[in-house]
Amino acid sequence: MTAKFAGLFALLLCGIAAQAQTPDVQRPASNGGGVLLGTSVSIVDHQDFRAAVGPVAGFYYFEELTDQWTFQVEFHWKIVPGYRLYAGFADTLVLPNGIGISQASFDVRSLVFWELPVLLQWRPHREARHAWLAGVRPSVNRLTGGQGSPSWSTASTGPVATDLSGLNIRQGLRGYDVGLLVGWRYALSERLSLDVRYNQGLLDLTADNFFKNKTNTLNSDLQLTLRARF
Amino acid sequence: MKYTFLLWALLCAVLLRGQENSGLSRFAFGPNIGTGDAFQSCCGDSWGYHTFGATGEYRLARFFSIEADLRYTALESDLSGWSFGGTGYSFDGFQQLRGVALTVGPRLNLRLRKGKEIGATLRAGPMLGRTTQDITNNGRPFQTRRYQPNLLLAYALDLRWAWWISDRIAVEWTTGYSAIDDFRQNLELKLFTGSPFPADITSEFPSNFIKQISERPSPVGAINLGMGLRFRL
Repeated sequence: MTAKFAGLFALLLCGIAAQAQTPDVQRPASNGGGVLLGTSVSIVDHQDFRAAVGPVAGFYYFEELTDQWTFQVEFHWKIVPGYRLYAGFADTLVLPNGIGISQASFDVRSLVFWELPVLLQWRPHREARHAWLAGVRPSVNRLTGGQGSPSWSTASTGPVATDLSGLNIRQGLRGYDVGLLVGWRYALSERLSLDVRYNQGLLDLTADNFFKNKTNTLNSDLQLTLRARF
Repeated sequence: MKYTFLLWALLCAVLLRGQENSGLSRFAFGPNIGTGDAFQSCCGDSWGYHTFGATGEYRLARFFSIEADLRYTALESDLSGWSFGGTGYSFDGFQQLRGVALTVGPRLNLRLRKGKEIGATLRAGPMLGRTTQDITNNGRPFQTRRYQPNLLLAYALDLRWAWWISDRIAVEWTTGYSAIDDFRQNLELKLFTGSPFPADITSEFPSNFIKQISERPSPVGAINLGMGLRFRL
């Protein structure tokens, strides 16, 4: 259902694009900024190749370096739902005067990313409608709701087992990431453009010895955004 | 899903029909997305709340318009955990609610200087929602329960700040409250995959775990922040 609705949303963006298209593109400004919004399809499980769709919004600023090259810096916010990361911990103390059991578990189901893509755009000539782009994308992430806190319990008939309440999800979930991106931009009019890009995360977000698996969890996604320049 | 497409097509057809041959039309529409803090009464905690969709507006007067909003909403909540000592079972659950709502309502607009505009909208309408539950046993996937789609009632109060950066294009930010009511309808299990619950322990489930969750999808409330573009045809 999510993917189908995302498809409709993408279709809507394209419809808007077609509506907004004007026959002549005026000479673009040498610098400026604007807003962007759209959807991203993120791979949330590389082993089973499971993808999830979420929204993307943000701002961008560009500075033309030459007729062909443009420097651009952006700020993105996005939600990636659909993770199924579980980490469980247990400690048992067995002493002559009783047994103590402590258990703690984490479930991570969605992440919010704040991203700062820095990129270069290249276009064949100054009046060209389309441009190719590539760059790097540092990001940080955070958990929403109670996902970051452990579900913790103890049972004891004598000694008190290890206090696991101090466990922190950040011991196993990396809070930052660096990625590479490549993409293509098409100017629909002087103020509107469409941007399609693929982001490849480079760092595994999950520590294998915390989540007890060897799979990589990368911040990789395919993004489609519509951009309006101020 | 075909109903979603039909509603979307209907919205676009209405919008395009209103386009005038010259000048600016009274119609404006555009995509927007949002997030916020959602809370579902069945569950202790919710996260991953997000929406995206499209809003269409017909301006009847300078200060007054009718607005229609077609929106996909998703959020996830946790079900109360349950463990049964000595059996090795320790269940937790996650409930996902996803749905598409078509809401309609009036909108008041107040134009400010330099292309700025503020507005307030109150909308209500039907929502087709689908509930899915992932049950885990000791953190491992145990059972996935999919329920039949439910007809829900969605309503929203939005405050909107728009900046018309040209005659035809506006950037807008919204904040507001939205809610989904469940009409007190029971959920009807469509299918489950994975392992069945062992018969000898289901009678031990507390009322706040699977039993209650299966009875109603549960109302949702949310504080929203959104951002969008709007195009005047």
